[in-house]
Amino acid sequence: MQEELRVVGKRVPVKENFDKVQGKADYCATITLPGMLVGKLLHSPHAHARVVSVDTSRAEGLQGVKAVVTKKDDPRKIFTWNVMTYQLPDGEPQDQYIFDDVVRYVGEPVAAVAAVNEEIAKKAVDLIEVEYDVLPAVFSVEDAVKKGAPRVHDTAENNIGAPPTPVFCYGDVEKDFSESDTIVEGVFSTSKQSQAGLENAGCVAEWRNGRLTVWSQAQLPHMTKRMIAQALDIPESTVRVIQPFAGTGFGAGTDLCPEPYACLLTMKAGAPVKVALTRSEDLRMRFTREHIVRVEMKMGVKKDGTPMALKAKYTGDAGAYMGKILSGCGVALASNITEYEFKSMYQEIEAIYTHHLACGAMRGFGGMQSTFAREILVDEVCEKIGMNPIEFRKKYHRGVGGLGWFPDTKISSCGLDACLDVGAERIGWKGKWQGWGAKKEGIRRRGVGVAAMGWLSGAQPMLLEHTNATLKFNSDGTCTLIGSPGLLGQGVLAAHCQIAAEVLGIDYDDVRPLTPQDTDITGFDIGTHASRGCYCIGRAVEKAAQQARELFLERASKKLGVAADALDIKERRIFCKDDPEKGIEFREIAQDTIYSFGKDCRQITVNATIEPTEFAPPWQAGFAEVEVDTETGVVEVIKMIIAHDIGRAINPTVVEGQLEGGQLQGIGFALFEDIIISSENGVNLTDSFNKYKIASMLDCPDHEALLVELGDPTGPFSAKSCGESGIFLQAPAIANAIYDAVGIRLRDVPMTPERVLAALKNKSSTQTN
Amino acid sequence: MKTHSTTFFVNNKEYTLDIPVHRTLLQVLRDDLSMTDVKYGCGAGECGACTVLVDGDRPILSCLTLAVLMNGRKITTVAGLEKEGELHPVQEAFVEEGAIQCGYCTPGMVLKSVSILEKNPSPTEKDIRRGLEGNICRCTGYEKIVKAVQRASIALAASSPVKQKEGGKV
Repeated sequence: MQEELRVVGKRVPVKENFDKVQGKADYCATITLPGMLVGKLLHSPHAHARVVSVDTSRAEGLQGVKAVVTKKDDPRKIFTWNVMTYQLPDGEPQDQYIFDDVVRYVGEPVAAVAAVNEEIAKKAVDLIEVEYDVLPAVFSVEDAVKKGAPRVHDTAENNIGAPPTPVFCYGDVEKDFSESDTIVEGVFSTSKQSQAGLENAGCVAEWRNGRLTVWSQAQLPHMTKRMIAQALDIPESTVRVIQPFAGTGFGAGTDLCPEPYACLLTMKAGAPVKVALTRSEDLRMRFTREHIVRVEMKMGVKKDGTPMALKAKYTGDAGAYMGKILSGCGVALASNITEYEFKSMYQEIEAIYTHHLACGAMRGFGGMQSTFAREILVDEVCEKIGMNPIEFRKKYHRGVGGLGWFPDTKISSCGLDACLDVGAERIGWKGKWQGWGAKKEGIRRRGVGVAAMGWLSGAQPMLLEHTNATLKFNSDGTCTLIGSPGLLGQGVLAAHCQIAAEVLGIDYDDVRPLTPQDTDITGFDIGTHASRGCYCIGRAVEKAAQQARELFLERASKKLGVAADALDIKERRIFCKDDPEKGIEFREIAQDTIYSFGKDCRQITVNATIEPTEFAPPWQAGFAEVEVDTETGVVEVIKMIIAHDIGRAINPTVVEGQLEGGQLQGIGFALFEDIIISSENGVNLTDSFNKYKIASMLDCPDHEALLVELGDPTGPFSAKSCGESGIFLQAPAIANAIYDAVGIRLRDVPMTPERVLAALKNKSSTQTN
Repeated sequence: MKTHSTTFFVNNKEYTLDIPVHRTLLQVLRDDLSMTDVKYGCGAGECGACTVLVDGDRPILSCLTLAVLMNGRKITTVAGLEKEGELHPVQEAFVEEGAIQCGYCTPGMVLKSVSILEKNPSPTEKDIRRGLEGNICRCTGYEKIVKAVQRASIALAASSPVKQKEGGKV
């Protein structure tokens, strides 16, 4: 971290924001093609029913209707909306058809219409007559596994999508529990959060001359292309995915949603079709956060806190399809390994089908749930052994060289101690934490809590994280950066441009990222998930820039008659290190590569491929100060501080933005966000922003994200990830702060006033007895 | 279908249209006039993405406003904020402060911020937060949006002709 950097580490503006601030950026919602039709979906009103017949004749007869598609138009190829399945050698379960004979959740599409305008499309949807044979349904994992429960899928006995399966276990937990001095355990439940981006799920599809182009909010474009081809039973090469800007993300784009329906419609209508969901449809149909509905965890330590054994079981409520529930549970488990030096661990995962909307992924994938449980139990352990909760975390977290998430991985850097220090100071821990059992009085009582964890920078080597980045140089010395992380607003393209400019010795303005991104142009890339954008793609960009730099130096070496290794590039100029006066402008060499008239024309275009193996965990410490109203149960977050070891901030403004945004979603997860599905009929009761609450400006406590920059030896300019880190620690830190304030241990999120009041009541009745 | 002949201005350009009485201003701007800088987020007045300004500084939710009620009104969308190729100071501040991520709430958020500053050139942080309460952003955590409005407030004061006459001091 000694070298002087000109571009990396600077707060340069994100290039695409100039378009966005003028409303000129293209989203699926804004794209219009000549002759484009409006697509609308017909959703099942039943949670479980056999589709006996679908009569589309009246809809098709309506003037202006160009296509109606039903199960008759489905090529009946089994697939899954979860395009991440291709990242695992054996894949994840595939159990979906575009239209099936059975509907398995309220809101599942049964038919779709394309018409010349929205009004006609809506009318046509209303004219479709569906005969359902309504079947009994199950709305909880407990009911689903009961003998004789209705089956969600004929093939899944007792609705078991995946039976309890131990993964990445080590040591002998039973022996270590028997040698533990203190054991704590608990059963936790977490919510079904929605990504709820401001742009609803939407896409445009156009079938023309045997090619299918899909404008999608995809985060994983190349695998999205492959999955669309699989579902439609057409060669992958016929599909092209274009990523305009997406007004959503946070994992939403790692699953398909309206794409298969739009594709069937355009193939039948022979005209481009846009399917843009309403807010209600988005909340009812888009795969939600991985719903790990139950976490059972047990932890044993010695008197001095030495971690001995940890045992956990993660139960996923898959909903109607397996989606990402198994990988979500898997990540809950894997991320749990890295935090503390337990002598042994035994963890297992299971997934159960229900008639709920299925699960995809959301920021904090899996790690949210295990961290919530673990960090509360750590607090309990600390109280039992009389240890300061910050001290425990400092003393027993894993460090460099320690066990990573996945077998054979090691921790490459760890700045957690610094995170705990700066966070504790900023929240004023010393004055505010009065030790275990401090007596608090009054109706409104304050408390503080802490939590910690380590995350990852891409899911390698468990998952394929293959990345390509290309730099194509123009004759004026500028270059185009060709990659496809997706345009979710994460700001990672700014970081990529900064990395390239720094390596090449040119300016930030000289590197222009390709937008929109297009699978016909970009090399294979996984895309954006698992906090990989800056670290994994950034490494490919760094490598491409290094290779391009060498080519520029070679060419300049010939021009200047100086050995290439005696040259350097700074501020767009190539010069001799020993004689800086002697040199040539970068753009002159660029011009020469393209317009050299018979003297070795060779445009510099470099592609670099990376398949990372290290997982470079970012570490974080979270501190909450809350005030609990003992009469209403309302928890007010007074202050929330998160401190992050992110290696290095390539662009501090972008990094802070990611962490601050994650912070507020984390507070939503902790206190109020939850998709509620009726246990009577499966109807989603939270299908509007009026009912599914996301934080507004007034719900926003005093909060801050602090950066700790100690570097990681494997990252581009020593950077680690920051995309997800911001979201993890609010729930456990707030739960621990609530305990500090009023002495109740909450084990369920969201921690609503009702739950707080119930726990307070339970506590006082226990005390009275 | 009952229609009304309606004349209104959008970003200083006059339009006279026969508008079905049930059609919202959002539908007319987006679907009929292709002004896709105005965003649909919920269609129910719950997110603020569709905010436009009426007669200079009055923010309204275009998804809840019948278009025929706009007869004789002047509407400003985010595309109408720039002057002679220059971004409005609020737009500039949003870019500089990194107050934009996915950018989908940005047009509404920027317009609402402009209206706040029109009415109160030096708002407190509380004023800003209260003013922007109805505009939801899922990405940023709002901190940088508040900072952007504060930055714009300073920039606007510095460029105000009255202040300049007084020696350019804010």
